[in-house]
Amino acid sequence: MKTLKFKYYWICLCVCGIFTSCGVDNFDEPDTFFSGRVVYEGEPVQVRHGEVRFQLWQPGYGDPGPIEVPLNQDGSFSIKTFHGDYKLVFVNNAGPFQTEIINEEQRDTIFFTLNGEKTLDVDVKPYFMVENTEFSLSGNTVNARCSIRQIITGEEAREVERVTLYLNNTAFVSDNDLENYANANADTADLNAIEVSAEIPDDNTRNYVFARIGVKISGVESLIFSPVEKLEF
Amino acid sequence: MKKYIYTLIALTLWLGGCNDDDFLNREPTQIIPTDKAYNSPELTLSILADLYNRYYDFGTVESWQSLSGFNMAFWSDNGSYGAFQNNRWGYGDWRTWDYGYIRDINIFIQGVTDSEGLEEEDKTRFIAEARFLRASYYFTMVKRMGGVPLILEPMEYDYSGDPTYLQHPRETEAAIYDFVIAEAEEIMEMLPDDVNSKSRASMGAALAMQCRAALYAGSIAKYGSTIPQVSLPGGEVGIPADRANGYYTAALQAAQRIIDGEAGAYALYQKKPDLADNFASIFYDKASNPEAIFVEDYKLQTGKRHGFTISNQPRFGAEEEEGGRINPSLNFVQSFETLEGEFAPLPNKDASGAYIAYDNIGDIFENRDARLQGTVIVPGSSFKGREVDIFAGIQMPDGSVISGDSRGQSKDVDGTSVQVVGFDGPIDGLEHVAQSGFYIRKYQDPKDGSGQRGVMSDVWFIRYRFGEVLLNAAEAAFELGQSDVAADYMNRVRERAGITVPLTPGDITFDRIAHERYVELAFEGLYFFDLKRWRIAHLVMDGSEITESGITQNIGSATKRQTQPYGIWPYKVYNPGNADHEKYIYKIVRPSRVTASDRFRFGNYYSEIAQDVLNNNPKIVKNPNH
Repeated sequence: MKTLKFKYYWICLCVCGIFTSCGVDNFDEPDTFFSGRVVYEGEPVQVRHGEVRFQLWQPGYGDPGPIEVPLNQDGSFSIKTFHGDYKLVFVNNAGPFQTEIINEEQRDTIFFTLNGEKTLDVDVKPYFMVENTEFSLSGNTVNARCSIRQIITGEEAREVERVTLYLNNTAFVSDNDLENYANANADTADLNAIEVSAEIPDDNTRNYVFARIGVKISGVESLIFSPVEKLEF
Repeated sequence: MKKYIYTLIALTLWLGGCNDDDFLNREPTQIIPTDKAYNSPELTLSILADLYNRYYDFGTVESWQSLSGFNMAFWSDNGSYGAFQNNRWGYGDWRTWDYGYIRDINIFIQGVTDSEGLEEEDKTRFIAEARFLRASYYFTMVKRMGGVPLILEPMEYDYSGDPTYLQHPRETEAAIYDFVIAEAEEIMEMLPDDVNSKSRASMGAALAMQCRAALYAGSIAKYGSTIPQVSLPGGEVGIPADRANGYYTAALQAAQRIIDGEAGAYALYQKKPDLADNFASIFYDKASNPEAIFVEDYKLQTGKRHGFTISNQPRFGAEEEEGGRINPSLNFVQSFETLEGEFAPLPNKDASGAYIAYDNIGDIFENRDARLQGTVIVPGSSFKGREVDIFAGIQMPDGSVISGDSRGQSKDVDGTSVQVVGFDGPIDGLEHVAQSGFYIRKYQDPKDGSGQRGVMSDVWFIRYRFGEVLLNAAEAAFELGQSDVAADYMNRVRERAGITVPLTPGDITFDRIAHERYVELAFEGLYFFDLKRWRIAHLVMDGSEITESGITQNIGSATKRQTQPYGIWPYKVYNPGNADHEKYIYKIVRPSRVTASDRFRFGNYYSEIAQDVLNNNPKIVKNPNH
């Protein structure tokens, strides 16, 4: 009986140790949602999934390092992080847009404080916007129309290099060739009336297809897209 | 009583133990103090040997992947397929920032300069060699990072709590290139003009480095303006366009000093009558090889040897149960010209689209630039006296194919059991077989035992060779408008490859120059920097897949898409009674492990500077697009 008591004593101590020690030497997990969209005139800027990113910097904690925040393909983002003061900054040439210069001193850096859930729409100025997109199915062909509006004019203006219709069997559609299974380039003579069609590959086994139009801007790496549309047979 | 005894013993030890100064003040046996180290030529040389050993190569025979990237080859290795299944590189890839190495070199230079025990002659050479290594590493850094802080003295911290005086800003990219060029100019006279000094710096090595650095700087100045996004306002990345001609002139002059024999009797290696054999021998013949200028050397039965042959030997009959990792791609193989100097795809189909049947398996590679078979082991060729066994299956008359999923498998064909796939494959997805249809020949060591783990290989890695110097001269001359000079240098290289029709000055174009470097200097760690300095990497690797019809087009164009490696597989025709029975046809394939296409982003042109470097030194500006 004496030995049994002895064992219980130690087991209790160990269990207590296991349940309390993690709370003693670990940080609390991040608990604040920060989400939002990158927009132009209230319209989200459509980009390639995970391609365009911005950085969050939190000053005051020793060695600084950025928190990289990638954008979803519909221009939205969300991260879970800690309370505090943050700076939001896009890296140079990050996307198919220019950032808004807020003032001379601050440049395009956005300051904000997180102390609870927060949504923020970040305004940017894209070179072009894809508008009035219409998709239709005829047989095995996807037909698409759109107009492309130039936003940035003057010295900073850029040209449209190509306009491409991308098709995929998942909701991720982009110029990344893992994210499209067919694509076709459009004639770009008249940017106000783009028409393009692409064939769905024969090996497509699903009864739907996702489509999206991307615009490659000369000298800019990331394309700007129309919203993704699901077409069912 | 015991207590007193112990106290007495302790007291005796305490008082008596420590009065022997000689016992405590001893010379360390593991550390050589500075005053001794730099006073004996042997010890100084051994310190220098360590600095040589730490030389940074982009590609080296010690790491087969480092030589064969960017879709020049498929990697037949289970752990490496990932490279063909993602489509971009990290911004931090290829980063280098080893100021510890720079400091050690600076300390060495200081130590030798202050030394009183060394002969003046030895001192001069040691210092020149260390300066060569230091310039080499600054060259390595500027190629990957752009302009970097230029530190030429060992820095000491004074423990004052304020380290700002140790923080240096980045120099401009041009300034680092200028440093490398000027440093080479100064040290070349201090180095021996000895052709046989290959693994230690010589005058030839300094000139070759100067030539390459000036050429790189020239092309960055000239082509940098095509993508202004890849530059910084302070010039840390990017070189003004008006400096291009000056750099090209310097490159041409440096090359011509080597070509004219000023640094010793360097020449193209032309010892063997078989031109393909001759080309392969450049890389393993170490006996008075006039082509090699500066090498990383190895020695059997020491710690300094490597396993390149083990990793890449043909799998069939290999000395270990491995090999065959680098499989040169069809993209690369088909870019070798015909002996008449024309670009042509490998003729696997006739005009009507039907497969051409060849009598012998290797016939499709006949009449090509000898460098093809000097660089690549094609079906039908041999290594170490054994013919490789590469064929993908049996082509049946009804159009079906009988193949196997293990090396050299036999199956029942029309009632008899026959071998239906080669012992070297190709079997899609099976590592170590020739999944593109080819193995690499460059750097393979023909000596017995080179493929054994217990023996390994002592084939050297050539960092600078005469062939490259000729092509550097040709490029610089072309950019300076001297096409006749360029044609002459190009033809010397091409003649050795067996090409019968020489180029005329009118034939010399940028694409010609780029192509010649692609085939001559393949797998030598230079292709990547060529793509970067010409600012075409983002066009060559644009993230779009290569279609089967696209792969055979635009051969010889510098901006031909190279986002995926392709292969071409031989099949044996089975059709008794038909004229094609037992002949071979070739089919173009993309290995199924290749699922994505590479995309080189603007932010990949110069590697991202690590965050801890930026944190420690606020004067450092970031590279563009990061």
